[in-house]
Amino acid sequence: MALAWAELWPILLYFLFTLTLLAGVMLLSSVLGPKNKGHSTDLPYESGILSYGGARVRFGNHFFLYAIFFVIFDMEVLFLFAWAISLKESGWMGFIEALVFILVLLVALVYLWRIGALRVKAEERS
Amino acid sequence: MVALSLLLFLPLILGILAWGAERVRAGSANYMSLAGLGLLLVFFLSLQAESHLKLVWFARFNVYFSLYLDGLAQLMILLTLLLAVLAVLVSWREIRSNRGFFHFNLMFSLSGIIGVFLARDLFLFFLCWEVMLLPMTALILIWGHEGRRYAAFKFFIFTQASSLLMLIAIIGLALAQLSASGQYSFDMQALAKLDLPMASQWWLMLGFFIAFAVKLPCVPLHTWLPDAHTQAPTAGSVLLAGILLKTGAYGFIRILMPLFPEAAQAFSPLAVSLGVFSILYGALMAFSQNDFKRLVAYSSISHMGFILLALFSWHPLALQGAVLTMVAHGISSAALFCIAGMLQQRLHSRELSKMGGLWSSAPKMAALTLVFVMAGIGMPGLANFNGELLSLLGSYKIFPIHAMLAALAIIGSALYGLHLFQRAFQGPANQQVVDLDKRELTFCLLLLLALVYFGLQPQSLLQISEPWLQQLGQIATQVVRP
Amino acid sequence: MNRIELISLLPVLVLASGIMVLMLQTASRRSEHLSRWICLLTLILSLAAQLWHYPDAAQPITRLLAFEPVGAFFGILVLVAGVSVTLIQGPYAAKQREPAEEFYLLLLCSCLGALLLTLASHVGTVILSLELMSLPFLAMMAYNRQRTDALEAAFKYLILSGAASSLLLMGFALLYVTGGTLELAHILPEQPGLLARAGLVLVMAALAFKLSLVPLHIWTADVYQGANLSATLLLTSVSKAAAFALLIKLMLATPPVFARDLYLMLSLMAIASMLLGNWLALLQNSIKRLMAYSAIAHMGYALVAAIVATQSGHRLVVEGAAYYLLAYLIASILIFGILALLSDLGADADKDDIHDVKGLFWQHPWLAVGLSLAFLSLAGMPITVGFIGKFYLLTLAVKSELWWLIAAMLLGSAVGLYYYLRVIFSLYAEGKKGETAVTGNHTSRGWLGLMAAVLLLLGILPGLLGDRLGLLLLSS
Repeated sequence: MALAWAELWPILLYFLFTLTLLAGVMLLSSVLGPKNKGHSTDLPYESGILSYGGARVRFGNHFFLYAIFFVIFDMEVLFLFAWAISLKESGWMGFIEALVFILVLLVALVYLWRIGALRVKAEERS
Repeated sequence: MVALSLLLFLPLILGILAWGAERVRAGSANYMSLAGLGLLLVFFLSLQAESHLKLVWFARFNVYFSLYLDGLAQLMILLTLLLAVLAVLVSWREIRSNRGFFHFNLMFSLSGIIGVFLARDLFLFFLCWEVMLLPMTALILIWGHEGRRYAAFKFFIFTQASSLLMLIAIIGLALAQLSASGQYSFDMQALAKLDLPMASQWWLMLGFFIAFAVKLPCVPLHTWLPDAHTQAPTAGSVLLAGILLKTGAYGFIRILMPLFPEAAQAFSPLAVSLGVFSILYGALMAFSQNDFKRLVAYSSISHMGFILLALFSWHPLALQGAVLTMVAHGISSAALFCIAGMLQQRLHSRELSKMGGLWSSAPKMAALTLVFVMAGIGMPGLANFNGELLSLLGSYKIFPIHAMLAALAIIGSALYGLHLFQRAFQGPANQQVVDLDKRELTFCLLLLLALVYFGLQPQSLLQISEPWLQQLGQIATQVVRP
Repeated sequence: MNRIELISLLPVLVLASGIMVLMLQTASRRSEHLSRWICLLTLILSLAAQLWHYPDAAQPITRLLAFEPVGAFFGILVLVAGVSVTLIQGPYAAKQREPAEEFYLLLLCSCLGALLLTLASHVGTVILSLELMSLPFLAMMAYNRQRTDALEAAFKYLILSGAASSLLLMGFALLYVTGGTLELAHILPEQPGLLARAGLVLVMAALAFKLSLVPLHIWTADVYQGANLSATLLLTSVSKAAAFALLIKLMLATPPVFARDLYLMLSLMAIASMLLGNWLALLQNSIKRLMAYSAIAHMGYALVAAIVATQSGHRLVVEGAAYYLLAYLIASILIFGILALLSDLGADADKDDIHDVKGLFWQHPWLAVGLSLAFLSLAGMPITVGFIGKFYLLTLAVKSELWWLIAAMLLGSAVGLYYYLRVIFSLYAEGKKGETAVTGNHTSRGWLGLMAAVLLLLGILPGLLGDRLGLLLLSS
């Protein structure tokens, strides 16, 4: 048990610290924060406009798709960047590997383009 | 001797042929099976005893496809084949739906049973032991009577679960051989030479004992039997009572006693007590049944108790008695189940209370039933008498009190036997039934003949099984009785 | 990377290029038929490559992968499962409303992940390939959006699988902190402190999740039931085979100091899985759900091999695990394949209720015989391959004298008999009126027939594979 303590105390301390911090912040904000109880305090705030309808609505997700594409392809550039820096060191082997990598990306792009994932308007997509 | 393996595979091929034949022409499966069994019988009789076959099967664990035909196996296989013929004959008209598949299952289980009697390798033995279970369950499930689902469940789970224990014991034996000689072995002869410490012998023996005791059955493990026997179609009951129960006894003789002589000797007082308890309990329960087949089923438990008693008293006389009882009970109980099946076919009921006075309308059937009942009671001159007499004589020398108690049960068996006969065939006539037709009369008379023949000529059976029993006797003398 | 390494990686390369070909093909012209054949061809070529260049000794390929016999054997299992899913998916999905091509793409991706997992020798590969394997599952589960159960299943799997992955990461991180290496063979330190132990527990928990062992089994039943049959089959075959390969490799490399802890932990998990899995399966009416609980129980049995592996490394361990997984795989393929022949992906639910197959024997005897064989194999009846698998495991357990585990195995098997029999009995019961529709083409039926034949053949002649298994699995 002593051994366990010797090894684990930093983690425990870290946990304790996090907990205290969180609890402290919440406690402080509830103690120090102003509490006004008006008739519209509990209403959801939508830039001054009264809310209407349910919260559960369906919305198109093609912008979300763009975000994902951006993240994916952007991340791939990172790898290429790393390769570009060490171009001479990695030699021909590295070149071939990077080529394969780009080829894979290209195939994926062609696929996405052809299945219509890149079209902006939802109704245009078949 | 590849011919020996044919004995295993021919029934299976025959089953497939019969299934195919039935698809081509309705009703031909009966003839196909009958003719095939006849040929198989001729083939079997042409084989000499003491032949064996050994092929590499599963080299990783040193498992061999090893068959061995000696007198005892010969006897049991002969009984099997004869009862199979009977099963085909008795279900000639009873089975109407899916006859082809029925015959396939019948023959498949036959393969397994013959394999159990022939196997000399424990792995193969276990395989066949399980294989005979499957088609038998199918027979009960598909062609059985009203409570068949429950009965099939119970039958399968009891036997399968208990045989798992046997599997563990088999593996334990093979591993003991591994640590003794550096090589796995499942060969019965090699394992018999293994010198195990008492403690492990005891546990391994128990694994085998439970598996065999469920099959036999012996009392606390018997509850599957009345259900299975009652719900099975007649052919199923015939095979179950005639052969399947004997595989349990055969396992004791062939495996348990030679492999674990010391542990078996140490265990014998308990085993014998269980046997006697089975005898008395079976008789008592049989007396209180109202169902024809259930009554016969409980009487089987009672008779199997004699075998357990005789085997574990390990006296040469008793061992002979056990073998005789195995054969005799195989015939007589099969005969009674045939009668029950024929009655059920005519009356659509097995209730004894609905029968009564059948003698007047079916005198031939009644007379034959009387003989079969008498055989069950153990009337001198019929086969069962010799078996019970030798069992009791032999075991009296070792366990006098147990033998005396067991002898009591002969009175009990007279009670339930006569009770059965009286309620079914005597008294005021409730029902009219058609008497036996030619086919039925033929096989009943054949059964009668067999009972009388073995009753008067038990020596013929004893001679065949002599060598193995002598071997057992020798093992017994080497073990010091505790 | 030299030529030999490239050749050793051939199965993976074939799969990867197959994925690209399939993408290009889908991009140029959609054709369900063509995609299916490309997928099948890729898997078969990969399988052929795997068989052609089978490793006889462990050989590292860079620091990330290792080409070695145990992994290769499980890789074969993975590919066989992939081929099966491809074959049954065609007729099963004939009437679905979704585009069919992407399913094969996802299938190939997850097979690639599983194959890499069997080759992994580095934590990085493990995590990458595990995710590559699991993520396509989600999409495959939720593939048919009209099935609300499927969406639910995918969501459950997504969240819990994500949690399991984070456990795995955290566990490996803790192990790395103490050991300072990310290579699987040395990741367990020789002198463990509590931190390393905690890490090991987390890693085990994640693997237990993938294998659906008892304390982490809760997702199994709902996911199995909700997902379509193809996805369920993948989940029960590909994912389990790959995860088990990883587990057994980890266990074989366990330093002795961990052995006692692991023995206790894994034994408890195994016993609980066997008993609870079988117990909960007793009253299930949905065959998929029943298979889920049965999977829990079977993984509990298979865990026995892993437990023995922590104790002693004798050669029977790997053989037993491999044979058992093979037996389980064949039976699962048969069961899900036959159910897929009876079901239709375009419908709102699969025909997996026990009443749906009632009396099947009298209408489609071959299908019923196949199902019975598969269930008997799962129950461990002789003459099926399941018995030989069970025989191996029992031999292992008896040899290592793990009596508690044996007792649980016996009890579990006895209970298990009941529900397997329940399904089999209902196949032979007097059926309901009317013909049960069966889909399926010759290839899918032929493949299932082949599986049934293998199931019998390996059960009747266990030596065919068993005698060579030692050579196949152990580096010379």
